[in-house]
Amino acid sequence: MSVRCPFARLLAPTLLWIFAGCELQETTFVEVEDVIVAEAYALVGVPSPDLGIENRLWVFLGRTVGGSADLSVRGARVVVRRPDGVRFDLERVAIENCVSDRERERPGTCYDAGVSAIALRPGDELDLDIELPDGRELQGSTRIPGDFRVEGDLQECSLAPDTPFEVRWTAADGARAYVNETRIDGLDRTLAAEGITAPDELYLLGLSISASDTTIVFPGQFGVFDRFDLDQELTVRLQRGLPDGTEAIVGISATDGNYVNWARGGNFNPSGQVRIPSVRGDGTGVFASTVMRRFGVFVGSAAPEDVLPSCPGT
Amino acid sequence: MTLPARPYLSTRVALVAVACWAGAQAVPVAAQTGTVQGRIHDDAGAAIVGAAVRLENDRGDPQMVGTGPLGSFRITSVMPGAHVVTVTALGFDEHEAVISLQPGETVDLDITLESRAIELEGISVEAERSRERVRFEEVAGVTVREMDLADLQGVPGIGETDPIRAIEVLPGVVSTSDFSASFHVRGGSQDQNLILLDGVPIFSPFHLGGLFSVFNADMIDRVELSSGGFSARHGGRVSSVLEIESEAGDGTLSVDAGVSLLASRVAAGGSIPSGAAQALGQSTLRYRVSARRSYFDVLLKPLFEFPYHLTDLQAVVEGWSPAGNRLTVTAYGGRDVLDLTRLDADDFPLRIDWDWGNDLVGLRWTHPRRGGGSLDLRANVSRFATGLAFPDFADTDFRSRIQQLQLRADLDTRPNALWRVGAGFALERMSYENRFMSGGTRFSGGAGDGSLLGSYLQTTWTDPEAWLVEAGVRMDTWIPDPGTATVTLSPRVAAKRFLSGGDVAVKLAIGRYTQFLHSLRDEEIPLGLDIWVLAGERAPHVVSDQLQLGVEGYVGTDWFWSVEGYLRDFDGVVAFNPSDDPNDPLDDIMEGRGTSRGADLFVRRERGSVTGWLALSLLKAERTFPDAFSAEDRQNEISYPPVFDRRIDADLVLRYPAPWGWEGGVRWNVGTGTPFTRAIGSYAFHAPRFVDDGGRLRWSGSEDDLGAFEGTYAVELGDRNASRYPAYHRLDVSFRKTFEKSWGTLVPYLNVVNVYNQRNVLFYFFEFDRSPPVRSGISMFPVLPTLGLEVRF
Repeated sequence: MSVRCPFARLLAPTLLWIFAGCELQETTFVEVEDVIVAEAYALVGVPSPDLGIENRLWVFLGRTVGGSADLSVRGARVVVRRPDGVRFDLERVAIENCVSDRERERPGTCYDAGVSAIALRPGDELDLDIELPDGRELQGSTRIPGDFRVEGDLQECSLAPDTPFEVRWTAADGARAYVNETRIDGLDRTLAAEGITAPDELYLLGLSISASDTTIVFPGQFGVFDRFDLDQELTVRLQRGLPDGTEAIVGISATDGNYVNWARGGNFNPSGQVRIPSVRGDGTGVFASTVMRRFGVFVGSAAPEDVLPSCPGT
Repeated sequence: MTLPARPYLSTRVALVAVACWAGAQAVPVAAQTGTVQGRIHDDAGAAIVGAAVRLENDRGDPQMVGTGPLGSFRITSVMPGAHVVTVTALGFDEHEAVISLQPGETVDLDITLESRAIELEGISVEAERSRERVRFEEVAGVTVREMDLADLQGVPGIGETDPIRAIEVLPGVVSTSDFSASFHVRGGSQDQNLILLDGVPIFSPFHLGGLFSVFNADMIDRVELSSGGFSARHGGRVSSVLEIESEAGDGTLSVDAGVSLLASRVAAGGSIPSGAAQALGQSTLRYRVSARRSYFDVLLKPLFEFPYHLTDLQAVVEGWSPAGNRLTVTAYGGRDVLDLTRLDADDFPLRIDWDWGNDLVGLRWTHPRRGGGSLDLRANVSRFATGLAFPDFADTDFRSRIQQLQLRADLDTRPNALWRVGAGFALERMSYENRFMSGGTRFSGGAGDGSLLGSYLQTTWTDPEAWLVEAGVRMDTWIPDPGTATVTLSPRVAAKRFLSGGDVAVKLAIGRYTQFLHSLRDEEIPLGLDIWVLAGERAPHVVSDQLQLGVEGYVGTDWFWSVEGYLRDFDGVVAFNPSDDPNDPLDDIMEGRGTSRGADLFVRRERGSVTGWLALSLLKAERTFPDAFSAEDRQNEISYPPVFDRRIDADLVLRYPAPWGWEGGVRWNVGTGTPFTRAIGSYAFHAPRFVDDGGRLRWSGSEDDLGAFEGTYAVELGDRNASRYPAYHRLDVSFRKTFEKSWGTLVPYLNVVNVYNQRNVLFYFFEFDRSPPVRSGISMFPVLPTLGLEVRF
């Protein structure tokens, strides 16, 4: 490549020098405070024998990093109460019940209500109390959003290839937002023919903000936060719909304000994401609740031989 | 009466007797003296700004003033008797006349100067000094610090002369970062500064998210910062007014051009042919236009696509009618364009097209009244807009805009030598729209409009060399949609007591100020764009009560000094509510309040081989808001120092003759550290995954190029803004030299920012996941030399 302007050779290194010169040369060791972090969730799942997930109530207790090498919080007494007197005593369980990434370090301790969580209902008000062996206490409250239903009471539906489909649902009372998730399978083999690289399993997250925003276009409006990271050919391709032979699970979760505040964070801070807590007392954290509905989508030839209803509006 | 200019002592003296107002009889000292006032213009009727008017009697007691923007002047406390009036102005023949003044009389002069080819050095300097002095003698309340183009050029900076960057060196002005030209005045937020280009409001006059201002110095005549004690005429913002005046030129064809690290620019001025001017009812019509564009994208194109460029287009046209009326048209349009759609997809796959900028047009007609008053009519349109588009994703719509239409009339009358009365009104229509949508949902936004009817009455009474008292009241009626109409009454009083024969003055000003718009900018981010909202259903209006007390004076003719203390409170300041309920459209903006108190010291040497000033500012500011970050009751309030709470800030600015004919400039700034919120711990940033994993938490993060996972962390914060960065200090120098050529002038210059490479802290990063936990960070500008070249012909 010819360089037409002799100064051009100098400008790029100059800019690099300017910004590289901005790094502070000093590095100072700092103290860290041992802060208990409680991430508590109440989930009202889908009453479906095939796709349904059971209700869940669990708390993941951890600590700020950099202090104690052991970030587990054992021996805590974790109780969730409902105003009608129903009490959920959470027991310490294997950490895999709280975190899913087995290949990563998983500091912390998991407490779970187990099958008793079946008593959770949409609209329940719940109070969380955590007492640690060292005397520290944390509290939180949540109100599970109201129930809602997806248009067509979908459990499974078939979708023509390359056909976007607008998912609609009824409003859930008290929801601050709907967390819309999908896991799409089969993109790797179906898009390879188009020269697009895709994972075999693609997870995408979408949002519908406020209780009254009860639609989202599948799959194009999912993955709004992944557009910076994902292969652009793939994300652009998904705007047209899913290719033949793929299938997906779609989840719509009505979430409370605690969930929303914890997820979206607050003001800018250069050291990391600021989260807005809903757990108070001797620590920080979230006590969030969600009501979830989900259904399966089969695209073109991926649909089972028995006849499935078409996805609504398609 | 019109006095033709003469190169010799005129014997045809103009005497115009004006009866004194009866009330003046109660002031014996004033009754014994008289007033000489008038207007200086060229033979086409255009006002001669900055002409020096000198009055001297046979006892040799000279009095001198400079003419204002309309060519008007006024000299009070003139002893009765015969006086020689001498008028000098750059580019004009000197004019002399003899007048005779009776006790209590006001003589009104109308003087025409004739152009001359040879310019006299020093005249401009004389007039500038007089202009400052006139303000000292005739204005009681407002604190104004003025910088002309030479002052601006003498303040070293990055790339090229920047009027907004330059005012950082004035007392009471705090800048929180090298990376942002936005500024804070006496504890006010950055959106509380009214920035005017030839009287036209401009909302966000910054390029590169705040790194540079949009103003091309080749178009600027002077910059005035009013930092407090505003009269009733002032409305719109509560903290300061920054007035940037364009230079329409003298009508001769001229071209200025320059290239700097930032951009290349050109400005051209001249006159519209007299026939065309007369067809438009003007005896003379001057213009000056400029264009500026950054060039990195062009220069680097052989190597790679540099995705950013900026452009500025500015024009000013000034016409003078045979009757001496002035017509001014100002226009500006600027754009920043960040185009990431043409980059290599492997390097930056997400295609983004982002632009932002201001547009404004102002039309102004001014009718000068005899005695120095004027009738001023204006029509202004101004807007700021930004739009962020993702061409591949039609569901994304990020945009923000604000627009203002303004009609205003100001009448300034001077019934007699002791009284000055002003009145006026403004009718404004404003609207805004913010929209942040993506993925089929609306993240935030809002829209609204409002009408403002502002009116004021302002009076000034003077007892020459003894007292100056200003009293006024302003009434603003704000009708928002949506929202409820609001009427605010803002009384304002100021007094100045002259001592030591008029060379020293004690001044006091107290007043209420209101503001009906806000910028929802996260001030903790050094670079960013303003998101404007209007007061109404969603946001309150700001009411600020302010008091200032000071002493100022002259030592001889060269030195000016000032000490002022102030108290301010601000009700109705706003911030984003980070824990708003999306179901409630009215809770996304938090209402708070603030206070500030402090003192400013200013010592300026105005004449001599070495000129400059020392500005020392003391400030203690506080903001109080609901504690939106608390898990407790979020209605609980917290008070904290805002990020611009720099307790001590000192600037030393010098212009001096450097060796070999170069002109040197020095700026040294030192200030105590600004507040920040310290992270006290961090923890893995988890997010639950419901759809296929039962809500189990996953650690958010990304994989690096080698496939290693890098998890992200959330931070636990200490008390808000309870920590402070280390003290800030920086030395900048500049050197300019003017080479006179047969075809014009050539001016190379060198600016060196942060000469001794002080690592002033921009951010600290607390990395608790490292063992042991460490605090690192990044600094502001390192030592940064920049070269530039200017030509003029």
